[in-house]
Amino acid sequence: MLCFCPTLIHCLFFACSVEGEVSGVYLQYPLVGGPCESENVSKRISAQERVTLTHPIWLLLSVTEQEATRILLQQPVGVFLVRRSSALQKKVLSLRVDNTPGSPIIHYPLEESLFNVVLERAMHKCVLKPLHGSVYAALHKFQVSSGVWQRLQENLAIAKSKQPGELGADTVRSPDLHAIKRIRLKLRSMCKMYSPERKIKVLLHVCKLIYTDMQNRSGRSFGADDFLPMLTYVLAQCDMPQLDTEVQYMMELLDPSLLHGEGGYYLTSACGAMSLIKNFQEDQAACVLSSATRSTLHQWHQRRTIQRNLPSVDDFQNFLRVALQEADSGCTAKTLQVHPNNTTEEVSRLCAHKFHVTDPENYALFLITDDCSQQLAPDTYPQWIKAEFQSRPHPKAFYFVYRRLPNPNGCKPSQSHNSSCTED
Amino acid sequence: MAAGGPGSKTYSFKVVLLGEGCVGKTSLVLRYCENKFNDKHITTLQASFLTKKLNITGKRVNLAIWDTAGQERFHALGPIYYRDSNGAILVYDITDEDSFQKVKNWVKELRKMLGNEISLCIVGNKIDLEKERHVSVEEAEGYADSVGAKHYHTSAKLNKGIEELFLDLCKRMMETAQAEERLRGNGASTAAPGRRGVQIIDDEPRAATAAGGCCSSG
Repeated sequence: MLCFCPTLIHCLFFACSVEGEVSGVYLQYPLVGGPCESENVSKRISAQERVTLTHPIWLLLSVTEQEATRILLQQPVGVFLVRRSSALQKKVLSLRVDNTPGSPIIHYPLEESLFNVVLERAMHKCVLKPLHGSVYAALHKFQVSSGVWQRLQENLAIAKSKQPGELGADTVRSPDLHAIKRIRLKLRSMCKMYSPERKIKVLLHVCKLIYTDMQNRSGRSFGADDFLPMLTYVLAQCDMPQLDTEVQYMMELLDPSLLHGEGGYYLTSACGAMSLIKNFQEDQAACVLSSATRSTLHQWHQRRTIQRNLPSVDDFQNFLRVALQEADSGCTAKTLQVHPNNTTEEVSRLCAHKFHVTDPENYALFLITDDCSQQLAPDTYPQWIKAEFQSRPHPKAFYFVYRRLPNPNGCKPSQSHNSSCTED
Repeated sequence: MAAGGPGSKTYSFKVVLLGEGCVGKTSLVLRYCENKFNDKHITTLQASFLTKKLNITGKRVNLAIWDTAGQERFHALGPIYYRDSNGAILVYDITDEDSFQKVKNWVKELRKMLGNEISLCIVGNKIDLEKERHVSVEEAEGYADSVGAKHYHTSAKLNKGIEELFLDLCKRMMETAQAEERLRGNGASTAAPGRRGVQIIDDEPRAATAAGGCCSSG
């Protein structure tokens, strides 16, 4: 967390050194002079402002290492300047420290991209820590109500009863009960953490344990062909359905820049493994599932990708935007909560209620695209239809419209859209 | 995508590795990254996720190479791995016609899901087994041409063609990234990289009019 520092020049940057590079810069009280010279000053001006305002003093990009040393040697302990090193192609923080034991000046190369990490961490502590429990409860409730939890538990039980070979993993190299127990303990501790970054660290550690175990038994390096089945086997053996929620939590909250790195890779693998476990029985229905998975993924991708447009409310799962079309008053749209397993019949009932329609038997739900309008059959699933549309590479505009039937007896509901969900 | 201070641009690219099991994806990437691991990473000795730093014409490039499981049963997981990739390396075994077919399926899927932004490399591996070749050079190169991909021949065993493959891919990804930058308006960070979070917009009027317009035409 950021602390206030009272004097302008004597800001001491406390640098956390990791393998010789500064991974985070924190503002701290100066070593001498007590916490705050004047309460008033620190109230009027924030630490960030203080540093920003004084940058002409400490930001000396053109200064060389020799010059920096010369300047700082005449300064008290704790004074710093920031310069640019042409050799390292990085900014370097030069800090005057105590003479003992080593050099009186230490030069820390700055990992600029990591500034955000510090802020992110602080935000997690302020926001995520108190909310962690509620977010979990909400995610869990959502899984239970959508039926995912039930399916996960059933399939996990089946997957757990399988031998490594049946999951595509190498029997010889699979971890023994003792190793599984160790991994389970680690994962349990991971579940208690609120910070997605820390969770990822535990996950990486678990992956490393699996690798080490595999390697001890064969002595070579493994790619995804060997690792993913093994991870699936291990996670099934751990028998922790809550891991599915864990993965979701991390996928949603991890800094997007980290999603490209090693943590992102192994999180993706864990997500894949849980998805395999969750759908263990439904292999035969792979097409339908992959379409659903794809749409969830597509929505997640849109939410979580840097440099893309921000998502609109429509992108969120389990919301369906339905417009009521009346001959006299035009269209009014409402966002309704609709689960993937809700049928058109149920959605129509919900629409009648929400739009205060007194004669629902004369109304029906239609899917309207640029070139066609179709009445949806009562047993189709609007969320699946929406998913199918959104998972297309170039999604067309489409709308769900609840409107009066033109001729109550003359219109046949179309079946075609449920079948299109199962295509490819 | 690209980070770094002014004047010292660093490109970060994600490359996904696809192909049937046993075509040699893992050996290929291990060869490439051999002894040059970034020792900061935890799973240094493994081949599922590897990083490599390059310097191409004065520009620094960080590559993250994502391996995928090639077995059929994992096919459906493809999208979670290849999302946001800048490049894809599709590996087949020149002695195995079937593995080439699999590559074709991947190409179709990638083009459908990611469009033309992704640089595709089709790689015929195991050219040390030239005598047992089952996929003809003409067919493979012709196919690659027809889908806007580049074709390479490699041997992980003999360490042939691998360096060239990755170097070439990096250059292509840099071109794509540069073209994108130009399109965005050169330098000015209009795209506000790193902006994130959820913006809740009341879209009531917009959706209503859109639906209305559409209804009246139908």
